[in-house]
Amino acid sequence: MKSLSISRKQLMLVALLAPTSLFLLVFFVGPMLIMLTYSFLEPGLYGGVEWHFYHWNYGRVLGWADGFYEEFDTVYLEILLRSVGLAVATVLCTLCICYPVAFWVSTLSAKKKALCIFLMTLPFFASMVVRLYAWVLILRNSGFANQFLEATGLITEPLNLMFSGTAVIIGMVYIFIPFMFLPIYSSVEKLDKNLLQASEDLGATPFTTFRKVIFPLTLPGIVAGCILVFIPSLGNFVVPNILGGAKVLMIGNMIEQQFLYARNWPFGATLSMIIIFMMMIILSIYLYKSAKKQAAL
Amino acid sequence: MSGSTPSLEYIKIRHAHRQFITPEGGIINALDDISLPIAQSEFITLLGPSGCGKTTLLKIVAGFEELDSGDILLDGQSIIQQPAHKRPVNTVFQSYALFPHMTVGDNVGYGLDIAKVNKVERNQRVATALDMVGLGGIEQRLPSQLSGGQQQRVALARAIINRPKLLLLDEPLSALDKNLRLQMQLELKNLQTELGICFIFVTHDQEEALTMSDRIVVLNGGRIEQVGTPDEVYHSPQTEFVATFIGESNILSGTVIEKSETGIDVDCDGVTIHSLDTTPELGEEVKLLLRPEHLSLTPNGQEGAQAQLTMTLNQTVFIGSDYQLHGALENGLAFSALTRKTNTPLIKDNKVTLYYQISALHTIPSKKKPTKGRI
Amino acid sequence: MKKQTPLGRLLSIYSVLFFIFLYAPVILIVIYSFNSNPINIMIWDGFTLDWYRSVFGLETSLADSSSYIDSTDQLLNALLNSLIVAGSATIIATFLGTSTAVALARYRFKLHSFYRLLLFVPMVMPDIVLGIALLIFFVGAGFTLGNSTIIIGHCTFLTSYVFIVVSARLAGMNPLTESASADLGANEWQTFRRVTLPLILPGVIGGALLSFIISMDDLVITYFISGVDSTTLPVFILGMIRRGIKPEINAIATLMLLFSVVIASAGIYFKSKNTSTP
Repeated sequence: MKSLSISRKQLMLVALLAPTSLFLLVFFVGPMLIMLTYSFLEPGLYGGVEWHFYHWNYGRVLGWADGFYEEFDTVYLEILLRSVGLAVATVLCTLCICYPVAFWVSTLSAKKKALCIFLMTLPFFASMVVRLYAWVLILRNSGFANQFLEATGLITEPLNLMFSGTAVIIGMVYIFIPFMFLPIYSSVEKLDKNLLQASEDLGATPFTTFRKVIFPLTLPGIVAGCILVFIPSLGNFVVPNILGGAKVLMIGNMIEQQFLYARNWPFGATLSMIIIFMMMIILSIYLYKSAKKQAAL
Repeated sequence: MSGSTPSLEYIKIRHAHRQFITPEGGIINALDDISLPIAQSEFITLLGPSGCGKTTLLKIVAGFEELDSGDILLDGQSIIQQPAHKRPVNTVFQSYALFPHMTVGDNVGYGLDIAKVNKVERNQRVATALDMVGLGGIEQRLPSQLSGGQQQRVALARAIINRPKLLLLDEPLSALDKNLRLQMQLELKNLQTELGICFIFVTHDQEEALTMSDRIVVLNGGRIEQVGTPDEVYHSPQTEFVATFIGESNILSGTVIEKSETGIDVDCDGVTIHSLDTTPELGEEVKLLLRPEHLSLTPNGQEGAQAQLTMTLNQTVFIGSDYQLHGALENGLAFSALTRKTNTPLIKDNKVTLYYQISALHTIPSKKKPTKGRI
Repeated sequence: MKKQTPLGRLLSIYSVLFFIFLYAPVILIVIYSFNSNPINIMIWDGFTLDWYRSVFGLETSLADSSSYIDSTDQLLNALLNSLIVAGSATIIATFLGTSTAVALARYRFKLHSFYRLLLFVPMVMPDIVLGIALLIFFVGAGFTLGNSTIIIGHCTFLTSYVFIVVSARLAGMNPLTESASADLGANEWQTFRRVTLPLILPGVIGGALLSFIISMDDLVITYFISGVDSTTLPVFILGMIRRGIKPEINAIATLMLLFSVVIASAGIYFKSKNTSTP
């Protein structure tokens, strides 16, 4: 009787897990492993690959290519660095913008809070292309910003706002604001207001209270928000594509070029793997730190 | 410091007013003309039901709320203009409000770190404060690793380490279970004696107030109902509210129908009660208080005159040493008594005779303005 | 009686500006979609519905309508593709995500943390990386790029979203209800069908709705694995923007925003209705 019920349970478990396991192994784990393999293959002529181990793809980006098979070109590192820089700038901007607002929302009445949260989640539902398109309308030469500045007499010639690093940062900030706001808000909301009074009661000035109590206690939300914004910013491809043009290439655009125009798939796979490695490093540090914190409690 | 004679008016709350506007637009008088002097090393308790203004008053003294009008003097100096972090006043919060990201040592040492006390002295004072609350040597633990009672003690250590002139305690024992609460009550009282500073303790638990306080301030609807020692508020309540809020009580209201040198006769809906109080006038409406524990099933007539009442039993509850008897007097008034078991059969609908010392009757002053604070 | 500090007032003003920053750009699109100026779409020239007429292929008062939009057919084709992809991907991902969530919530087994990781990674994987990995795979395995490859691609990460939403619902559920069902003689499957499924249904529907929205909006992965005839709406609009700004884009964008708001409001209404009844 007992063994029968166990096997029935196991059967149920297998039935529940098998479809997803099969699907994700074939269509997610498989492609990832193939891409990893590709990054170590030699690019053939006209988009093909030569099936032997070839580490010069990485050498091309990271510096050990000697010019015989592949040439090391600092432009790839520059683009990589620029991508990191733009992603960091996006993270900092969204953080500075969202942090005070999260506090403001947490002081509102329940009804107004719900409205603000609704307004923050609504952009998730609105099409990203459309939201970026709005900034094309604003930033291009005959766009809203230039018209407005000319009308106020601040400028006479239209400024080149589009196709710049600033435009890319504005676009990414605009797209990723909800990713930063929601985790920060949830940690601010969880903050026990009694702790602030306790700190003040013990002689701390508002600034000291912020430094010693508010900031450390909202840090988990800040870190989560930063990671949630950094990862999609780093590999972003749509924003530089629409607002950055050919001038502000990010690593995402370079990958696109390798796949759709240069037809050097192994090199494109290598660039993707570099993004994955960077992402894995950040996530490992984060998971390690939070596991350590959990263990301490 | 005033030296050997502690000031009796060390803290003075003068005509404190505070209003709140409800979301519906109504106005609530959280504090309605509160005046109260407090002595330098006194354990004073603010007692009242929720919404009576006790927590508001505490927050105003701490500096987390502002007064609409009035003043608070500490050692002759007005403190209401000072922000909370500059007041020599510390608070033990209801939910403890321990910083979850700091160790016990860092929590207790927080005030000293803010004041930039040097490390050696700081660590020494943290150890002393923790010793005082019986938690020596747990500096490295996190608040989440402590029990409720331990967290309570850490909060206490953290609040006294700055050597405040005044310690405020906002229902600090309400989250503890009963045994621990009784133990902490005694410890708090001892700690207060040891430190020699003033404790203002807020609670809605009358037993807690009676156990620990030097004086009790009974608040209701933002006003002071009575200020007095535990004995005074229990045995000589000045208002009906105080009489019913503190302890079990039977209130007999009626009219004075006889008055003589030795006392008055009061007619309470057909039951006549004799009282030794001669202050009420003939024809005056009075309320008489008779505590259930002053009633017994047997006359014990060594001293003083006795009287008796007849009650129809409705319910009998055995509570360990004694019986609680609930029933109605001849005039239908609900009545209760707390007595030892006797031979009288305690059966529902039986009539029992209850005896009491006439001197145990207390007259509640009728319909005059609530008393202001006095020493 | 509460007084607002100068700092608090500053914070309020700042926060209101923040919400304006969030919404002004999209409102701008809506306003200018009614602008009749065909040359410079940012200069207001009067109210018109012509751009909407043009989008739907209706008669317009425009001088030469053919110069404004290439083909309504292409647009409708893209919309149709989007709906087919989002619909199919949602059904598959909802099935996969829900069954995995139930398995992980109700059974203890060795590979528990492996499955959590397997469902976590696709969600955080940058979309371009997933897009090209799938491209390499599909081309190598001989798939013809089209709606089917897009559906498969979307399911790889949508499954994770459904999993998260349904897991949250399962975590808030009293497991004793299932024990009670077993106690009353129901077998595993009967318990699932009669007790578990009805209880997690709001989560399943919520997850499905989220999947549908994300699938409709996905640009990057679709961009890499769509075939010649399988352009979806976001890819189509990206193409239009890159070819040059035309007034019709405003109209299309407004219609898409309207669609999003309707779906979002429906979702939130549904959610509030479900949380209010225990």
